[in-house]
Amino acid sequence: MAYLEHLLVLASIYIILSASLNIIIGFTGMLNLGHAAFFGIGAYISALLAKVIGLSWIASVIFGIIGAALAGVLIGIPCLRLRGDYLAIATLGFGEIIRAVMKNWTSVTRGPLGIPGIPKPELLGYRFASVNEFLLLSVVIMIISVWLIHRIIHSPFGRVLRSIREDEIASLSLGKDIIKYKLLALAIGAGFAGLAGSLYAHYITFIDPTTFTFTETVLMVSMVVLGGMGSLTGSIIGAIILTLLPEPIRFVQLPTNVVAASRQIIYSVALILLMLFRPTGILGENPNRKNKILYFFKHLAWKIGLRTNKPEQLI
Amino acid sequence: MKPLLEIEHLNKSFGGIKAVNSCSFIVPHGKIVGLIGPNGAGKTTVFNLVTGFLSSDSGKIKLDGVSLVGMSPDRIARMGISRTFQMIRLFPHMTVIDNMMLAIKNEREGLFDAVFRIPPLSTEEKHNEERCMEMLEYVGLETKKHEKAKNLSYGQQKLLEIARALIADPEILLLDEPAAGVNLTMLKKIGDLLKKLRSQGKTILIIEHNMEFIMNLCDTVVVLDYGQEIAVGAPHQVRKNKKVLDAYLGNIDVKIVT
Repeated sequence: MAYLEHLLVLASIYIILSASLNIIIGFTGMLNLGHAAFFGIGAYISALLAKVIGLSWIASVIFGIIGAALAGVLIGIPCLRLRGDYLAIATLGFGEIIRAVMKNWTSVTRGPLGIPGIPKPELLGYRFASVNEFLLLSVVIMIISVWLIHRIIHSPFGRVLRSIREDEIASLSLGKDIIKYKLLALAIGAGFAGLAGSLYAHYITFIDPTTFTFTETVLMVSMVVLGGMGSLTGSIIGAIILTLLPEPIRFVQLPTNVVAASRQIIYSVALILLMLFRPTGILGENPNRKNKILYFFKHLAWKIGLRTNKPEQLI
Repeated sequence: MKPLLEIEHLNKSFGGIKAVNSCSFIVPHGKIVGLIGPNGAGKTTVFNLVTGFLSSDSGKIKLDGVSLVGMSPDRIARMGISRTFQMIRLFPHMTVIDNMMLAIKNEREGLFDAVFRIPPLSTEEKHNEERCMEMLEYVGLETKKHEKAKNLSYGQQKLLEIARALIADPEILLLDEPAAGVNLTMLKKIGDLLKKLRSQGKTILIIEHNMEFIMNLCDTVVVLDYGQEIAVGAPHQVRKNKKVLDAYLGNIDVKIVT
């Protein structure tokens, strides 16, 4: 049971990560391959503040979020002129720089030794020590994050972000200050990744640079792509599937080195199948999905006689 | 009265090519001005200079007396210049209504409003949507409200792009070849729309190769050749100008042998 709860904690952390990455990649159209760096920055800042300086959990988390968001803006400023592949390479480089800093700035991060003994979260005197307590906390934080991201995306602000993804020049010609919007999108995405990072740090209570590698970014991008770019529900589904998918093989009696490799194979096969059969992801962006679902239920209600007038189909 | 748009000795070179060469003309308030000339004469470059997508080498561009030189394209757009593009630039995967809602003046597109929504966004969004729907009805796209922009026909996309430029309520509308590739019925519709806009006091600068369309519509025609204006005047004057005939309209008497 504790094992399942552990998986669910990880799933909620990955939901925050993939949803936040989707703001940057799926909604604003900036191919960001350095998301693990923001995850790591949040984790390190929060862990160090809580452990070394002894700040309260909530203060450490807030600084972790702010630190990651600032890093997002910082990487954004020189990269704003870049698009597509070029931006991907630049953010990838940024991710590697952050990992190198974590590894080599030994006086602060202890380098490859990592930071052990990060305190468990404590809120108003209550300590979230056990897995099921932490599960509650992480699910609550995940729901608040997803709700906030949903609110940001489905607003006039989010509409401008999507217009930038669709056509930057047209967006400029309508008077949108796209530099401001891109920086904000990066800051929001990075900030939520930082939140996920500090959740992770205080949950595992140990972090080291190997957690925040490029492979981790690839996993997050896979979640976004699997679920569907530009679909928040898709990101949630993608994160859950890719967190749980490789787990069953733990129960097969196989040597550990085979298990580790087969995880990678499972991810690859899942993505290849997806690209072959549903390139838009499980839930590709569909602006009319809500209307269609509403129509389905209204039509059903009319068929079985709960509704007297036939519903109007919008499309 | 001062002209709405003033262009004075505008220059722009790409390498050794002078795309715009000391070009000057004005667009008065409430008029439709046509910008014509052979391919490569610098018409679209002038548009890109005015809207800030390119920066000029030298010269003046003034909107209502305010210099636009050095301003970013988004700022120029907010000052009241709307444009369409030669190659249609819509937001293809967004719905028709979203395309329109993005163009309408909206003070509440910030992050703060997205998160806190004080006061609620819904009233304003509803009001804006009603205005967009009026405009869509005006161009005959009201039934396509929830359709993705990429699923519209070419002519409908052109109309949507014009409608989107109009809903921003600009001081001046810059249209880059609105009639290209559009069938006759649609062409008449666009022409009527532009005349109606003029009667409402709107100012329009239009690039077009369809001479019949231009000559019937415009109050003034500016003819560009090699980046320079070679003739400015009323359509009936310009079409008899020798330079214009040589450079663009052609002066060979075509005799059809039957």
